[in-house]
Formats: sequence, structure tokens, C-alpha cells
Amino acid sequence: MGLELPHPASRRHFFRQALAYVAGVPLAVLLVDMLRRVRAQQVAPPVAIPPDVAAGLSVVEGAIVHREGDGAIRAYSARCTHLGCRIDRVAGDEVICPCHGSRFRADGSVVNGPATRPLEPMRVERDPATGGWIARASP
Amino acid sequence: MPPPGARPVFAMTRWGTLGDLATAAFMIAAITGVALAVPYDPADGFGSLATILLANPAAVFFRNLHYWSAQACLVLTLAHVWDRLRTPGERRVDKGVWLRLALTLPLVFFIMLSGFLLRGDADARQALRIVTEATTQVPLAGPMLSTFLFGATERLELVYVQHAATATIVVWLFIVEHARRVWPRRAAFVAVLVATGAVSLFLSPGLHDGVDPVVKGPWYFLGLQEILHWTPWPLAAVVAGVAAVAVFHALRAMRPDRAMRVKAALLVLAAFYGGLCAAGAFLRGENWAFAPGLPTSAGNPVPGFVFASRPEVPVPVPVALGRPEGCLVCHRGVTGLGDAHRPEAVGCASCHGGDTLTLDKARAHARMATIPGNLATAKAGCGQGACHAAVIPRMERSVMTTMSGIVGVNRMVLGEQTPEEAAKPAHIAAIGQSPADTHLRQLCALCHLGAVKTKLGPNDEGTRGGGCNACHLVYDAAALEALRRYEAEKKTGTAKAPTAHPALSLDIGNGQCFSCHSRSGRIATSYEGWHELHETPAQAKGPEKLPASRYRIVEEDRYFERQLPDIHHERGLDCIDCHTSTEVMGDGMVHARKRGQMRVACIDCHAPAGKPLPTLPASGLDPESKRILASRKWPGPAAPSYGRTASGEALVNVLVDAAGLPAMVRKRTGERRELKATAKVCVEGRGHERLSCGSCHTAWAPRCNTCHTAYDPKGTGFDFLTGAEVKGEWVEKSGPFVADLPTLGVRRVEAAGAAPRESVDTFVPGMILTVDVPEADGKPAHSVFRRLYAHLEPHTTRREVRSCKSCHNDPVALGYGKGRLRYEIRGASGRWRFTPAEPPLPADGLPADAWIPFLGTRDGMVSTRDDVRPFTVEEQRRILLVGACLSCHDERSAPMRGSVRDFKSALARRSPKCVLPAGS
Repeated sequence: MGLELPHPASRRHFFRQALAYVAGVPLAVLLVDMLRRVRAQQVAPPVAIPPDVAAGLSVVEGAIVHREGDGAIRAYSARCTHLGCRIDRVAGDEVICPCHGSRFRADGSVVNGPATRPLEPMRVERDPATGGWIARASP
Repeated sequence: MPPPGARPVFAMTRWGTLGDLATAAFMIAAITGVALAVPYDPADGFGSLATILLANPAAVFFRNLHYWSAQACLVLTLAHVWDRLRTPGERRVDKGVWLRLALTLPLVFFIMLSGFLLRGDADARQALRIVTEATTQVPLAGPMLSTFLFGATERLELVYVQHAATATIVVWLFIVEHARRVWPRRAAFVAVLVATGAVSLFLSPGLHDGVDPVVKGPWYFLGLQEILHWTPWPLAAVVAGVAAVAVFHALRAMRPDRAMRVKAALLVLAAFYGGLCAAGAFLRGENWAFAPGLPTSAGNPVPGFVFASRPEVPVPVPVALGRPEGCLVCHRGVTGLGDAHRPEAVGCASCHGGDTLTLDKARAHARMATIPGNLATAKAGCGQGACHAAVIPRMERSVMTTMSGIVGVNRMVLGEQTPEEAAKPAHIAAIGQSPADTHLRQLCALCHLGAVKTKLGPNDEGTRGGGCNACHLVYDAAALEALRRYEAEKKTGTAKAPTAHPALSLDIGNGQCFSCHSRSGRIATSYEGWHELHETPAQAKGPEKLPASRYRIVEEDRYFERQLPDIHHERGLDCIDCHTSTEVMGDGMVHARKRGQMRVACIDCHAPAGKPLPTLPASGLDPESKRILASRKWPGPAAPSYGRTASGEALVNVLVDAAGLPAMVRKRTGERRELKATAKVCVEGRGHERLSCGSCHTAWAPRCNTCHTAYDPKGTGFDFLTGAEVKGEWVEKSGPFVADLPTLGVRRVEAAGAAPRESVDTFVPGMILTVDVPEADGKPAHSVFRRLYAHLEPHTTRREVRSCKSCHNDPVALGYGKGRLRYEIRGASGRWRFTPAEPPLPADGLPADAWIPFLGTRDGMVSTRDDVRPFTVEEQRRILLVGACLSCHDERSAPMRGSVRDFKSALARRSPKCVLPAGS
């Protein structure tokens, strides 16, 4: 059943619309504020890299980890910069996104798309408790 | 009812219009969704659906009905839209209603997609990330819209609310407004219910557990997935979707003729999109490889009667690694795997794969690996997740997998590569079809960790490889008996899977190493005191006539005789007591040669007299060593410090107490043994500083002096890499095998942090051979002759040492080959003479078993390695100078004992009667 709207020019219609804006706009503002605060509370959890992580490229939870021959560790977010998929596989010296096939090198740069941006580097700190490392999303 | 004057709809069926049918499907989906809400848990979507699949047939039916009615709703809705658009009736619809109808289309897709997300399986988790990101990228309101629809985390509770409440209610209101009725027509409802119910009885949508590497979205978004693969602008897809809805909405405002042209264009686009969906479903494989065929993902619908009889499922449903596992319903009481791998903890599918969410035997076993652990599939088994992910890449690069040295040397010997080219890393799995590579394929390519184990049971000389299982799969008596029974039952068709499982263990005996290392250098057999003979049992005296303790026959009629075993074997040490995990599984680096991966040396346990062992404090152990120690659970107090190799790697079973006394713990038994320092004589004096321990302490080495390798183009060979017979056969004919003292030569030793030095070491004839190389790549057939000695640690170490004369007066030790080496004195002059026992080979004129000519030397390609050489003429003269003394003086005499400490002084004190070789 279609809605039967009053004549646009009627005074009743004007007041109803004004009431809708008076009530609706603050509610919309509050909703946006609520959603913004919900988003702000979310930070990517840190990734614990085990001390015996393999040399070369590997996937550790939400991080792509590259361990150099001399033991140095670099980590990148496993979140594909194309559309956010979790990259979960290593093929030789590259990592591959399973969703749309983007490939990245060990330094995070793009081999081929559809992704155009390199992987996000993560901050890596030593974890004295395990002897491994903790990788955190860069601010 | 259509407005008065409207043309009748085109697709009026006996059950109503397509719209009636779509509404009925929507209503069935809504009702079954309510029923499904009871067993479904949005906090654990995958787990709750898995439990349903395993233990709740009625719920499976409701889920199937929910799924199939939803798919029907989408298809019927699209068909209904097209049906109505075929006639220019948009203007007859109220403006507001038309707007809401336009919005219904994306809402229906949203309900479908959110339902897909609620599966919580591997595909759904990735899809949730994609839609969240794609929505977030919408300018201005995108982030808020994304949070509103999907939340800010990857949890499913909010998606569940939006799916089951918000979107469903809104769409239902729009339908009611559009159709002007609350309930669907009864006939349409019954028709859709019967159709979807029938399908639901036999076709259940699966769940993608993540093992299958192919990630695909729902069928109606496969085209979108294809578009997103090919374009770097994901927002374009969002814009295109919004534009399609906008164009649909604008149809009402267009002139009828223009609207019809736009509709035709929309139809073409829809057909193109449908083609993309089909391409995504039927042509795409892993990593966007072209793989035509029916979709095989675990998330696809699988056939089978929902209410078929099934095994009784225990309550609660068995869970492994936090998720329901149907394997454990049938395979109960499996023992033998040890604590870390017991099925109650890790399940069966962690290693074996298969479908864990069905109780149908055929389906459960369809994609199962009966023998897991092979390197090709180890990442999905042993190397998955939090298990042994770090080890697999190491193993893939280990020389025990790559056979890099063997590949390079073989190509060098056959003249396909220069020594410099052959010194680069290579991989057995990447070799081609050149003569050298086919030679490897047929004669060598079975002995590597990447070889696929296809036969149940422990590895033996006939079955090698198997990745992780090559070492870690350990059969005890119960497992062997269970396997024997299983193999027997298979022949009668009554076989049931054995419940006594072989262990996955660190308890690695010498038998695991024997299958590969009983060949080539034969260190595994030599270590235990077995020397292979050239004769087969048919040619030689039968072993039954001789004491069994003296002879042994292994697979393929290989015939061994008893020789002195290694002292470490006599003392009960296994291979793993000396060799570390790094030496076997690799250190993660790619090495061209084995020496790059080897770590241990004799002095790591036997410190030079008067010096302490190099150690690591317990606190400095690497994580792998700590984990090994924790797994071993050796009795006795933990050591304050542990032994280490020159490269710094911990030796977890070399314990050094607070007083500095070292002991070795046998890894398999926990038994402790005192470690002795090297004898004083080994390190005192000048002249023998360069000698390796093995130069003196090696009792014997297997020597095969000559062989001939030929290619028979008419023969049938077997390619170990492909596992198939091939035309053309490489045939190897070896000369007699001899157990004798090794030859000595010089090896360049490079250690981290130390200057390179030279070491006198042990050598055997590596390849004194003629190879008949077939024609290939335009090169005519030709013969190649090589005279190469190989460095070998024979693993026949004895406490007692070889005599002085066995080096200083022995032509084999010096590299001349067998023969008579004598020191002749005539008057005041002495000279050495050598009469070879073996005839000269026509290729180079040297005796068949020689490395170098008498008092001469060779350079160039003289060895299988590039860091070794035979003695120079000057070195030979120095050795023979001592030999001249030994030709008169007993080696235990005072002058000779003194000469060990300071030969020059001893020489200066020599008697006037002593005659030195001419030129000394």
C-alpha cells in the first residue's frame, strides 16, 4: 500500500517535516558519534612471533614475517591492501592473497595486483617473555 | 492484483506469478531461519554449524531448506524483475513504492550475503573482511556504514542481527507494500516448499574448513570476485552496483522507448556478469590458475540423504583443536601417537585431512592423505598453524631435500656444467631431462626428503623419503602387528583402520637413517660395522653357510660383511646423539653443498687435552633446544651449561656440570656417558697439527675403485621423480668394493670468525668412472672419463689409531693406489720406488685406483668438491721423509716418538748412518 502523503504546501506537512528534522538530525549525529567511538576502540591485536620463526617468509596469525639470514625480523600486516583479505600463503619469495590474487614481495611491495599499495609495515619489538617478538600495527 | 488496465503478467504460472513464488521462498527462508536460530550460535558460527552437520539431521534439513529457499528467492526475484521489465509498466507504480522496490534489490543481496557470512567458515571470514573493507572505502559515510552493518570486529553477532532482523523485516515490509498482501499465495508457498524441501533432503551446503586453498565467495558474487581480481579499483565495483540500482530507479522517469533500450543494455550486462560468475565457478583454481572443471571446494553443496543411517555420535560431539571433528566418531581409541599428537587433542584431520564434517565414510575419506607428512603436502598437515610451521620451510631448503651437491656434481661430471656453475645451489625437484639429469632421475632421485612416501610402514631400503615421516614416524611392535593385520584384512576386504598407530616421535633410531645412508658413502652401514660386498649372494658364498653375525643381506639383495663398527656405535650412541636437528632439517638457508649445513665436529665433545669444552649457559639456549629438552624429559638435574658447536649451535645432550665435567646423554634413553678429552698425543708436538681426528682414528672406509655408467636407449628405466617408467635406461656397473684404510688429502676448512685453515682428511675414490653420455642437444654421443676422489667421513672411528707406517709408507694413504712402495738405499743415497698393483687406465695412464701419480700431483677437476686437493709433491716428500725413517725405526722407538713432538730436532739428532731420501 502506497503512503498517502499530505499536500506539500500544507502547513501540517511543513510542521511534520520540521519535527522530523528536529528529531532526526540530532539522532543521526548521535548515531554517527556512537559508530565513530565504536571504531576508535578497535585496534588490531598484537601478533606474537615465535622465536623459532622460519627463515624467509612466513605467515604468523595476522602478520607476514620475514626473517633475514642474520636473524633480523621484519613484519607486515597480513591484511591485503586491496580489499582487506587475510593473506595466508607463501609461495617462494612472495605472499599471495587468496581472495583476488595479489602478490607481494618479502619487503611488502606489490609484485602484481589488483593491490596497488605495499603491505603495511608493523612495529616489531623483542618479547623477553618468549624470546620471540611482538608485532604491532603502526600508528 | 495488477492495477486496472494493466497488461497481464507474462510469467503467470499455475502457482502464481514469479513474484508470488519469490515471496513464498522468502517466507520459507524466514520461517526456517527462526527454527535454525535455536542450534545456531553466532559467537561460533562455524562450530555450531559443524555440530549441526555431524549430530543433528533435523537441523541439517532446516538449514538446507533455509539455504535452498534463499537461493530460490534470489533467482525468482531476479526473474520476477526481468519479467516485469519486459513491459513498460514502471509508471503505473507509485513513485515511493518504486524507490523502495529499487532498494529491495540490494537489500535482497545483503540478506543473501550476510547469510553467507554467518557460515563463519574460511570463505565467509574472508568475505566478511572484503565487504567490510569495500563498504569502508565508500566516500564520506563508508566507515560508519561499514560499522553499522558489519561491526568493527570480525565477530558475527551484529551481522546476525542485521541478517535475521533488520534487513529481513525491511524487505518483508517492502514486499507487503508492493504485493499488497501479507502472506504469499498458498499454491506458490506449497510449490516452493515442495521443490526446495526435495532438494534439501539430498543436497547439503558444506563448510570450507580452510584446508582447500581456493577461496570463493557465494555463486552470485563470483563474477564480482573476478572483476575485483582484474581491476585495481575496488570502489568501481561499489559504484557500479549503486549505478545499477540508480539506473533501475530511473527507468520509471524515462520515456518508454528509451527505457526499453536501457533495459536491453542492463540485460546484456547481466548476461555478461552471469558469464563471469560461471567462469569463477568452473574455470578458476588456486591462485587464479586456469583450472576448468566442476567446483570442488568444501563449501559447495554435497550430495547425500540427510536422514541416512549414521554412526552414533557421542555427546558432546568430539572436538579437536577447538572444532568438531567427525573422524573421532568412528576412529575411537587410537593409541600410540604420544602425548603431543594424541587424537583427542589434535584429531585425525590435522594430519590426514579429509572431510571432518560428515559421517559418510566415502565423503569423509575422499580428500584424505592416508600417508601424511610428505613435503609436498606437509604445510597443510605438520606445518599448519601453530604446529610446526617454522620447520617446513627449513626442510624444503635442507640439502637432504634439495640434493644440491649431488645435482651439481653429477652435472659437472657429465660435462654439463663447469665446476663454478656446479657450485651454485640446485634442487632435485627442478632438474630437467638432460643426460646428467635423467641419470639422476633413474639412479639417485629416491633418496631425498621430498620423495613421496606411498607405502605404509617404516621406511626401509626400498622405500625412502616421506618428508617429516622419513624420520619421525616410528613403529613399535604393536603398530607393526596392527599394520600386518590391516594389510592381511585388506586382501579379504574386511580391513578396519588399525587402532595402534605408529608414534610421531623424537625417538629416532638408526633405522630411520639407514634407508638412505646405507648407500653412496654408506655411513649408516659402516657405522654399525657392515661393509657391502660387490658379489651378490648368488655369486658369493651363501650366508646360510656362514655365521649370521658375519653377514647380512638387506633389500635388493645387497650383501654386507662384518667389519669393525664405530666406537660410538659400540658405546650405544645413535646417529641423533651426534647430529643435530639443524644438520638434518636445515637451518633455513639454501646451501649448495652439504658442508654448509653440517655443524658438529669431534672436538665439540672431545675437548683438546687440558682445555674446557666450549659451552652455552642454560639460559642461552635457543627456543628449539629448550623445546627439545622439554620434550625429552631426561632424568636428572638440568645442566648449568651445554655443549656447543664452533658455529654456536647448542648440543642439548652434551651437559657440562658446575665443575666443568662434560657428559653426553643418549637422546633416546636418557643414559649419561662421561665424555673424554682428546689424548695428549693428539695435540702435542709439531707436524700433526693439521690432521683431522678421522685421519688417524678411521678404522676403514668403503672403497669402490672404478665403475662404468652407460645409457641404453632401448632399455626401460624408472624415473624416481615422476614415479613412471621411461624409455632409455641408465645402467651402472661398479668395480669391486673394498674395505680399506682411507686415502689422505687436504681440505680447506672455513669457519665463522676464524681464518681459513687446511686440514688433512680422509678420502676415498669418489668417481673413477667412464660415462657413456648419449646424444643430446646437438652434442654427439661421447664418453667422459673422470678420476675424482671424494672427501668422506667414513664413520668407522676407533679409539685405537692407524699405524704411522699406514700413512707415511703406504701408497694408498698418499693417493698412489695399491702397490708396493719401498725405500731403497744405495750407498749414501736413498730413493722411493712405487710399483702399482693396478694396471694403468688408458684414459690417463694412471693406475685404476690412483688419485695422483707417484710423487706427482694433479690439479683441475680432481675431486667432487672444490675445497679439497691431493697432497702436493712437497707434502708427499715431507711425508715420505718420515716414512724413510720408519723404514728402519720402529714407530714405538724413542727416536720416532720424539719425532712426533719435534721432527726437526729429531732429524738434527739423527745418526750418521741414517740415509735420507735424495733431495730432502
